[in-house]
Amino acid sequence: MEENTLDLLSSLPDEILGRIISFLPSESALQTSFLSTRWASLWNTVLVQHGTTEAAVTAISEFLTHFDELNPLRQPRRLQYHFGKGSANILLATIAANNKLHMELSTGKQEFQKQFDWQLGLNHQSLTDQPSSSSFFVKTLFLKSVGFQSKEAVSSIVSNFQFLESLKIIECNGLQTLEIDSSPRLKSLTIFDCPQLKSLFIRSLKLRSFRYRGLLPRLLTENHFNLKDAMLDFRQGPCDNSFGSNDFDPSLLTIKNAEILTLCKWTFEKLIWPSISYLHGNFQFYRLKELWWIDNSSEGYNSDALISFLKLCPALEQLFVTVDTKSYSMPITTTYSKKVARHSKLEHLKVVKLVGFTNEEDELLLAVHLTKLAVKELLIIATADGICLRSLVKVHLYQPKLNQTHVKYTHNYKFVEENGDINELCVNHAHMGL
Amino acid sequence: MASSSTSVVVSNKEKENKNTKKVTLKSSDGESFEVDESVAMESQTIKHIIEDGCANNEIPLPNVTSGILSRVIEYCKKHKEAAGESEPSVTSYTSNSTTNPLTEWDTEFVKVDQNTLFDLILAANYLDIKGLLDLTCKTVADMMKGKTPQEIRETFHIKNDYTPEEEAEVRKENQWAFE
Repeated sequence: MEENTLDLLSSLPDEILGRIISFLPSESALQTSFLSTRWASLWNTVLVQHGTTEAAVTAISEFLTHFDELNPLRQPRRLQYHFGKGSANILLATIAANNKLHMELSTGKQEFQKQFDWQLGLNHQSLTDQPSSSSFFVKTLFLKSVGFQSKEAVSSIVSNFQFLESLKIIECNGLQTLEIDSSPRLKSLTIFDCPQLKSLFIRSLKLRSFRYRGLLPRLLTENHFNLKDAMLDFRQGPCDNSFGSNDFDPSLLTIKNAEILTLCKWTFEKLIWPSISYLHGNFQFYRLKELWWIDNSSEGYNSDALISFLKLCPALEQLFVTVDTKSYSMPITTTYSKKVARHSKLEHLKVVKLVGFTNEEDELLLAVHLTKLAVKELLIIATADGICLRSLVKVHLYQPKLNQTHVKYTHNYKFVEENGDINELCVNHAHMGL
Repeated sequence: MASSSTSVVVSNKEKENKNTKKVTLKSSDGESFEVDESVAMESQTIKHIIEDGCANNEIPLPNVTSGILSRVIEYCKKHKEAAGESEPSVTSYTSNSTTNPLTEWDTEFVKVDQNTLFDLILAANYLDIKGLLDLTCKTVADMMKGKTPQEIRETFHIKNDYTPEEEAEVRKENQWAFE
């Protein structure tokens, strides 16, 4: 028997491969996209429909209702719904495992998106009060590129998702103000890259995870909630310079008990420190374990802000510092009290990763300073490009240092190139790479 | 064997006279297969040819070799028998396999090498035999289930032609579905 080494499977026509994939459970179906370039989009068979803007809600409901995980010859996982003037608007809805729904809007032409305000209500009973007969409940929803033409349709569709636990809104050009009114079921909210967003009003009761990337908008919250996971990537700077630390206070209280946090240096300097500096370190981030600090690069790296913040984090285990040359930086320099706070040692700090430092001297100084602050044996990794990793090692010198005057710490440390087990060293903060 | 059963057979034949009509199917390599028309009509393609009156009792199938055609005919015969009616049988793969007596037979039927399996898929597609197409496709899916992409590639000799950048792009595009 001749051994078969030909790839006969991939040479089958698309419809047949699609049929084979339809017999696979969602996760396996998705994995087929990695087999080879031929298989890239086969998992996503598309159902194309045309209709009116008003009928979009019904179309999506039916699409979701007909989706049956258990039926091997189930409906396509993707719906491409054309609506609006000249069918120019396209809503692409894709279903994935674990009750996820991805909705992406496009308007065909690259038009300038008109600015709009959006009130997204997830708390309201459907007016017709029909109990949903769908066996598919959307738990995780991704909304991409919603514009002023599509927001009404999307709002109507989304208001039916009573079981929504996680909402992610990305790349909505033209979105100016966003108000989210949600049920206690909503636990996670993510908003990325909405360039015109000026104001964000969150009316949620039990939010546990909040992730934001973009210009800092005016943040308003109606209720207090305790975030476990907060990503405040405001490295692009504030939208409104008059937004001050008093305005930020309610938000500060929501992140006080966070375990995982991403924070920009300028945010700390401008919006947090002024509110808490008078407390002399009594305002603590008691639960913070994992911190990603985004620093701006200015001439001569100044670690005062970082160190002051670290003194407020007694439980910190992992620290990631990224120097982003494009990050917004505060024009004023703040002075920090040199008074030692109650908890000045970091008893639980185990790992530090420094990314993007352009000056090796600054990098080394900070690394050594952190080593002094820690109690345990620290693993410090540095990288400029994310690929070459260096780790900090102690160097034993047999000669005394000649010139002691300008050196604050004896330089018996240096960074060596790490050629060993990269996997062990490839730690990343939970918010990196999103 | 006993005279009573012979008479039963004869009377059945008289009742279902129209079902003894035969057609001849000719494979790509020139071999002819004579089958009951009702069995041949398990294939929607052949059914349309016969109903359109273009049959002339010999139907050429240039896309199917004799080896595959004989297997396909075996499948159709078995499923037609099991259905026991003059309508084409409808095999549903959504039903519980323990209630379907054909399941064991089907499982044995698809225990063939990959070449043959894919040829059966193509033949079932060309001849439009839904039950056979679903059976063979599901068999391939079962060979893929639970395996990593690399394992699937090894099973089917698929070459990974993604560049690392392309693969990262696909991963990023579909990241939301993995989270």
